[in-house]
Amino acid sequence: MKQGFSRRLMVCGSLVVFGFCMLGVKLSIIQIRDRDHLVAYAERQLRRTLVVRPRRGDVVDARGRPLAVSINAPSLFANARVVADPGNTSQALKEILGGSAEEYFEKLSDRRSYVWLKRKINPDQQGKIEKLGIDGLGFVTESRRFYPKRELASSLVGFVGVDDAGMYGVEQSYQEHMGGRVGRIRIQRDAKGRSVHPESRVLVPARPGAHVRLTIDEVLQYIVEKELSAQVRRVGARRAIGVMVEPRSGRILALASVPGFNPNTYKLYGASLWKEPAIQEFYEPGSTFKIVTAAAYLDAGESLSKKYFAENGSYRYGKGRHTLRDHKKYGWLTAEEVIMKSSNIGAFKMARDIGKHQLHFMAQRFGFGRKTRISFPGEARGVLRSPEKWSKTSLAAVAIGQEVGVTPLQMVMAVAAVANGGRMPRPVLHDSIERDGKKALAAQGTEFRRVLSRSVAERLGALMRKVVAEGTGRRAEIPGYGAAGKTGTAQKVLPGRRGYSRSKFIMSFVGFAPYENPRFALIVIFDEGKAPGGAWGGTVAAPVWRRIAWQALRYMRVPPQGARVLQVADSRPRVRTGADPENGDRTMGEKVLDAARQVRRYLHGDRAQAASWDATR
Amino acid sequence: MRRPKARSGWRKRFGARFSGAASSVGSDVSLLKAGLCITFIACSAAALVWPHLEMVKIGYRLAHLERQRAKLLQDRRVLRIEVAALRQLDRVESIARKKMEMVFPEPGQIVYVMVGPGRAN
Repeated sequence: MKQGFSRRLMVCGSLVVFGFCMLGVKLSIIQIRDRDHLVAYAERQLRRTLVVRPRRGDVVDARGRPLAVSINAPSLFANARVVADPGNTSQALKEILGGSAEEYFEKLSDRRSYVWLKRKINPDQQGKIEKLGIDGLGFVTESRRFYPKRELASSLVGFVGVDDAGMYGVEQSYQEHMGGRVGRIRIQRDAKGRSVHPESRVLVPARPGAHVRLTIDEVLQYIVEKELSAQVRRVGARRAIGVMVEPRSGRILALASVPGFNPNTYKLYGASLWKEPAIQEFYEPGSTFKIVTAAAYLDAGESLSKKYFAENGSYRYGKGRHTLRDHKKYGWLTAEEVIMKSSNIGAFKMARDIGKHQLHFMAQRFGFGRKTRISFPGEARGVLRSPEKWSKTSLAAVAIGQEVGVTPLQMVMAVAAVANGGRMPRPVLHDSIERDGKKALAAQGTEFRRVLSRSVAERLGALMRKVVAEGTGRRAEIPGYGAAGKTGTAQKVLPGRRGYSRSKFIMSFVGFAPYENPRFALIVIFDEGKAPGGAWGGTVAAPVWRRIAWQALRYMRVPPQGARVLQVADSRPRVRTGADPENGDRTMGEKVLDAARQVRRYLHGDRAQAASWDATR
Repeated sequence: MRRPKARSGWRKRFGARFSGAASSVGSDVSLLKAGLCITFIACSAAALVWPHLEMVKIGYRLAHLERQRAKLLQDRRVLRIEVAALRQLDRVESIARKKMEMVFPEPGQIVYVMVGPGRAN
């Protein structure tokens, strides 16, 4: 009896010990052998690394008005292996998203585990698709770019591709700043897959894209585009370009090309419209280049009263093999009248007096044949051959703006230099680049390069004033302000052949206003077109230049001479100083404000005082 | 030798308790101690777990608020785009000209207001 009990006890004990041994073995397997694998498995279940895509920075104009903005947009994908009924699903998607049912069906029949159905749809469409409750469809949040001003400054602003990378224009040139940096965070998930926030850990902090504030002013840009478009329709031009620059700073106030395109649907337009011709293309400037000829002439110490025989409208040179023509029989002209009347023969004779090296040197000083170093991709250099490579006809051609290629931006910068007393500013396209309210990149400082002496610039400016007041540019005159400029009518080069077209012209006008205190330099260019009085720079481009200039000056609140000016006192409260005689009758609020300012000055020194001045002004 | 008398039923059950008062008091004290220990351990555990639970709850709330914030920011951006689109200058000019029958002023019709120093009365 006693023996049987002991045996049973032994067996039970052994089983218990065996059981514990087995548990120990299992425990060691879990804890030692499979530890790493299981820890990783648990980590995968619990924690997840999320890729945080930064929002692309906005593009705004000089006054902060948005030109390109990003918002989140859902993108629809499918796990085609899970979608049970591709036929009905594709039909339903077609009704909500548009597009073709066959395309959706093809993607859903592919049996791939991840296939994009449509990217960057709107939230309403997402809601409708979610209501369908189809297994295998899912959404990923992506960033979508919007261009609220549509065609306005489209070729300047450019656009981004599907993956949010800048492809053209400012979007491309400032990609490094606007794109931001992708971040990674690790979150802990609960059983439902929700993020348990306190457990999240930032592995790589995401950096949002910086906002780019351009120097472009939306209103000025609109004025330029509106007037160019109207004239393009009127004269049947192929396209038009306009660039407005502030001479004293080099800030580009407007940069337009017509026709533009809608960047929201850029694929619907030809790739030729995506380019910015004012910066990326060059043209033969024609008579507007006589500004350079005149500058070289004056710089060489020649007198504007020197007389030249402009023949009877036709002049044979190069051993009689080449002919220069004027559109009138001018006879004898002073050098001043040569520029005012835009005589080709006279300009050639002026250039012959100073020589090709002087002319080339001046063109080089104005920056032709070189990039202006504007922060824009694909800037064209233009064409300016060295004098050693010039042919026997080159002097005559260059003197009247042929055999040279300039960009509209180079041409307007040359005039900006004249308006600025001979100092050429470097063109500036952005005011600032800001991230989280702080400046990520300071505004580009104004750089100047002297291209003309002050006296030559003043004499050249006066000559350009006469072109508008009495010469070919009379239709550009703005009463009350006074404009200075030069017309240009350049024959177009025959494509694929030697020589120039007799019926196709590039008509342009470049100048600055007001003459006394220039606020802007502006160029307008029309590519082809017909006008009742003949398609000339003075008849097609100059009137448009005047309309733009007049509206721009009014927008800039520059009063013309003789305008009714009402002087009113400033109603804003001023910061008072101790020497202010009105200091005695201060209100209690002003006394408190002054006391606060004094405390601030005591704590922070004079910088605080300067800041408060800035804030109150 | 006299055999001890068999105890009756209730004595069998409660006899032990009444048989030694001192030992009964000692066992009550140890029971109390054990109870206190258990209570202390439970309280300590609760004190440890409770902040964690609170933190998780706050975490959920924070995540929810962040989603809400992101949504509001998104709405703000969408509204900003809408405002910018409505302020397209060609649209504004078209409304001004056609609906409100406004015209651009002639040069002589413009009065420039220059704001100088001093206080307006």
